[in-house]
Amino acid sequence: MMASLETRDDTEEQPQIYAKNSFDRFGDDMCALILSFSPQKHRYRYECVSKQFQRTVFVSVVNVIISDGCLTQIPERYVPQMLATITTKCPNIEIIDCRRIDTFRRHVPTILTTFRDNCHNLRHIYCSLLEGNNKWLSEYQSLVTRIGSIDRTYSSPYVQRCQRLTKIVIKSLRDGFSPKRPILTTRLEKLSFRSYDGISGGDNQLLAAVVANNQSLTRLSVHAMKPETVEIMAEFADIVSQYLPQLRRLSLYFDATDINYSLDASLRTIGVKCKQLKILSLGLRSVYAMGNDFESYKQQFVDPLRHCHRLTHLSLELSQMSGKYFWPRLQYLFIRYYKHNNTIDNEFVYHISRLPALQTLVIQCNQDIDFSDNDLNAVLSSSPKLKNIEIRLQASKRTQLMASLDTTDDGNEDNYTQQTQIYAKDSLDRFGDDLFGLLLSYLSLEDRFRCECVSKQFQRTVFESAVDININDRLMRQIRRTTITQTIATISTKCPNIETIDCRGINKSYDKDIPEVLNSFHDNCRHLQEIYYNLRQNYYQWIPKLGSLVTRIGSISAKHSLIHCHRLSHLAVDSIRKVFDNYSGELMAKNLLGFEFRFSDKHIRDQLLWTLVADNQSLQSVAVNEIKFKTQDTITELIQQLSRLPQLRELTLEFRAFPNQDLLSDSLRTIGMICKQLKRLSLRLNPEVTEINVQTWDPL
Amino acid sequence: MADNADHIDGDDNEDVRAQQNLIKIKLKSSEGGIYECGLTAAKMSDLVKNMVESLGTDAVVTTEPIILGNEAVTDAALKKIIEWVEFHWDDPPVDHDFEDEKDRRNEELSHWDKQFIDVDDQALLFDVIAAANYMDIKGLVEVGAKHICSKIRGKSCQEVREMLKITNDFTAEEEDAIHKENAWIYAKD
Repeated sequence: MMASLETRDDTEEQPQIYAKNSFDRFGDDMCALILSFSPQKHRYRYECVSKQFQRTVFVSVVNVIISDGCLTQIPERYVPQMLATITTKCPNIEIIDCRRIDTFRRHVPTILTTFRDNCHNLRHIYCSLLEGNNKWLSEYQSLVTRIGSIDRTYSSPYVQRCQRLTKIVIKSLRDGFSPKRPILTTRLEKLSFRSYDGISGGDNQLLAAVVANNQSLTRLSVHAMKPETVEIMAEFADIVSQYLPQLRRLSLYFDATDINYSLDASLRTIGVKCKQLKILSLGLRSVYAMGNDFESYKQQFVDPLRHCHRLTHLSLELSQMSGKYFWPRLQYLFIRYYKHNNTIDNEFVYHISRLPALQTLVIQCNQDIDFSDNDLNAVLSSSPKLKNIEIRLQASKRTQLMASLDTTDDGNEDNYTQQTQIYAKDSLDRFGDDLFGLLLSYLSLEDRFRCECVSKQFQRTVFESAVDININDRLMRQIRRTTITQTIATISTKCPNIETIDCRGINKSYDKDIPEVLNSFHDNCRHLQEIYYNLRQNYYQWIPKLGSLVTRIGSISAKHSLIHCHRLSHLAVDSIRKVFDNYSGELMAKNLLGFEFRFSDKHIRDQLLWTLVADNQSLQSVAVNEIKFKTQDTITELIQQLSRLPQLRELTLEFRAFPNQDLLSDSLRTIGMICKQLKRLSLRLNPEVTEINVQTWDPL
Repeated sequence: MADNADHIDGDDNEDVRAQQNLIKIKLKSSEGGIYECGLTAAKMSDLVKNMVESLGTDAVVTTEPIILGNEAVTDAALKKIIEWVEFHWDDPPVDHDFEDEKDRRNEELSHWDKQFIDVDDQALLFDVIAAANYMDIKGLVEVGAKHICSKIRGKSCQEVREMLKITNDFTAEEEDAIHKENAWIYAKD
């Protein structure tokens, strides 16, 4: 009795404080915003979740799609009732899309009338003009903005009355246009026709008339391109590029069995002349491409695409991809995948990794193919911007999102229960992967491996942040206690994000292992950018292959290898002569940022430093060690040369013989006055020099 | 004074920063506690900095406190965070000519930071880290991270689990497999 009395008073519910983990905490606006992202068909299911859901779930519905599939599920006598329910619950509808109604075309007039009468915001009708279904058009023509298909019996004068029409799909050009009537409406933005052979369905003359008279067109799509000869194709390309310079998006789908010539010239014409083209989608398919005949199609179709650097969308239905293609802007790639071993191989991953802008990858494959999560992760980690991998099986469709790959173990329901679990405040488990990984990013390499099996979260996150590795004698000694090949492979596989390898701490005893180590990291770490190394005699085993990655060298005993190190930025040598070729005398290191060398009177007199400074104006850091001199002039010359470096920020001078104090004072003044960017100056003086006149420091 | 502060906002000059830090703003924890903090110090939090810049210093100084709603921002955590930013607000800016990301990561924590972050109450330590992460104070998150990593250094998996109260969700077989992969780390002559 008491309970019923307590709950009867509705007004007391308002000040209720909602649990922080309850959706009830949100107000109507926020609730409506969140629900606006749910699929339309689910909203009717959600309606009775709560009164707030009922109030808000339909507010954001502005677009309704009614199709044959939807009408099939409802007995015919209930159709008017369903329409009335939708229009009553969703009063904000602006768009009604009936383009997918074919079998139930008799219902279209009823549908349009119901929506027009009940939805006062209705602005757009998307429809198809089918046989026996044209009577209503005169009544609604001012609302029709998109037409999905037109029957041949539908004459174009009907369509021309739809003055707000912006998008139209027709089977062939002749279905919508004729030489006498090349214009449908002045606002046409997108024209899509299903087949084009340049002859029967509407020849190039008609195409020229249509595109010349529809300058508002920004999107053109042809679903089955079948030009018989290369001349017809070239003419098509000329017409498109001549009359549609404003074209933003062009989609062309070819069947390889219909084309026996190269598309090279045609694609180049379009690519060069359509300056505003942003999305070029090329679909290529072949019913015979199941075997190993890729080479025969490669030259004809795929090679010409190399010229299309602006290509953003590409669909290929071929058995394999090989060769070195690089489309820097490609965002969408569709591949039909027929590999027999049913896994993604390295060649495939390598190809994807060469597409830096790729965001969506669609793979269509046989039903029995098995993509394990590891395969997909390999693809994801190889391409930095990849957000979405869609796998289409021939019989059904399965979508995998990057987020799910990142955060779940195996995609089963246990993960959901893990996420909702409440962790103790003093447990590190309370942190999500991002913060967890950040916290562990300060661990040493050894500790990362030691702690890998603390928990699955540790395992997921502990190697992500390993971006540099210091390979020194201590680490090599530890590794050599096991099978070195296997261990190095394990390390490089588990730390795929390594960018820098520093081998300068390796001594002669372990130097012979370096080629194997570097090759393993090079093969497994796709982000490897820099190698620091001391050049020794065995450099020839790996420097031709990896020399372009060497950016810092700590010492040289084999100076010829410098010619392979094009990106060298920091170099330390015991003699400046080692930077010059023995025979030609040519300087081998240019545009350095840091340089360290041992001073020599003779090298200064031979103008070696002068030459080095002239070709290394980028130097920011210089260290001159063991300065011993016979005459004070060489010190003056040294300082003069160093002061020719405009970018110099850090200078170290180590004196073994102390110069005249006036000379030192003058030298410091010269450097201080001319090297405006100098921020750090280190002077190391011979310990035997005990007294320095205070005035020596004045110039500083 | 507040007007003046708006006028000079964004100036890197040390005196100006010192002057701005005399302006006090109020920060409110998720538990309701309200604490004062110098403006320059508070702006070490990118979250607070963005709020101040969008609302204007006048509004922040004269009106309600800035609410830090994340549950990790408890009274105790917020007090610790204010203590840290009040100590570090006048740190010299990073000189990119010399210190890159790698150098900074390898730098040892200062004695003050070590003492600051070495708290007995692990729940508080994690609150401070989570709150600093929420408030986007990168320097403090880094201090917390370095502290935790220094505690982990050289310890076995079981010791790490016990210390950081981490649930072992590996099966014995999975754990053995990983140990075999990482045999080199345990190898001895």
